[in-house]
Amino acid sequence: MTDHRDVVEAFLDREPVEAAALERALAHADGREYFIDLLVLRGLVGNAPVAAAPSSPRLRRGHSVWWLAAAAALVAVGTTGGYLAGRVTDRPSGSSRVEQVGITPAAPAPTHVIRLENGVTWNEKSGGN
Amino acid sequence: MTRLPSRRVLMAQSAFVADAELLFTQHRQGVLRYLSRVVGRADAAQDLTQEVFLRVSRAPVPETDSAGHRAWVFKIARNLALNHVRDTARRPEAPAMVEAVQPATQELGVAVREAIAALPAVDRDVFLLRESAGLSYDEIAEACDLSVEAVRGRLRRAREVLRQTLDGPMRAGRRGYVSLRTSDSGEQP
Repeated sequence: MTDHRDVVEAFLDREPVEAAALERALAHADGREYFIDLLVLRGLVGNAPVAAAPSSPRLRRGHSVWWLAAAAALVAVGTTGGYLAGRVTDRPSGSSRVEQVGITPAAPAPTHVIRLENGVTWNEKSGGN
Repeated sequence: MTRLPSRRVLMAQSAFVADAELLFTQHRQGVLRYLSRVVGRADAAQDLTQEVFLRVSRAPVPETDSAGHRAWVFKIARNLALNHVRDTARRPEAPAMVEAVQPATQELGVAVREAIAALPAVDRDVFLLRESAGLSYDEIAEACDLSVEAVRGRLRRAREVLRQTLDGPMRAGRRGYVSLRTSDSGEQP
């Protein structure tokens, strides 16, 4: 039985086989059945579609991972930059503090001038009771 | 000062490139078919096929006959495919879509792929090198570092397992048409 299958298999695989051996193999029911089965199997394997993925989830996953990494990098740069900028601007500086203390805002120009003179009583009693 | 390559070196290089181009023309389709079946994805198979011929173009083509060249190219393809399958097993990929096929065909395709993937690695390679790439027993033996008898044995075993695993589709197939030609046939004219 195995011999029949060997011959059938070799014949379908384009290997050289003895014509008489092939004749004997195909004269046997098992040999014929195996012959058909190998052709069916070949058809199943050969005609089965292969998975194609031009827009595969792998690619999409790759893109999302890239965007996630880019967003994380931006947040990290922003946070670090903000922190450093804050440290630089908040650092106490002696010279600027002195300047602030020394600066006195200018008084506004007078709109009304009252002269105080000696001998003038300001408690006026004229009019009224 | 840069020394220009001699005429002899240039001729050797051009012969080398011509060999690689010839191998590419002759075996690209077979390599792509084989790799598609091994890795199960068209996009990955195309990438790997490019890698195969990149390696072919960089390596000295062995001094042998055309069958030897074919076995050599498929040996490179097989090694790359094994690496890819191993890497993918470590880092599982999301299932890919099957384009523009009927659901029944898609189901059948998945069943066939899974049945082939479940074979022992060497049996699977021997089977696909025969069925998808159309290599002879001698060429498979050379590509897989096996004896021809071992190739026969593994081929037989792989077919027996697939006949049993794909029992339903096999029964349906026996009621339909059979042909010596398939769309995946790697037979040389």
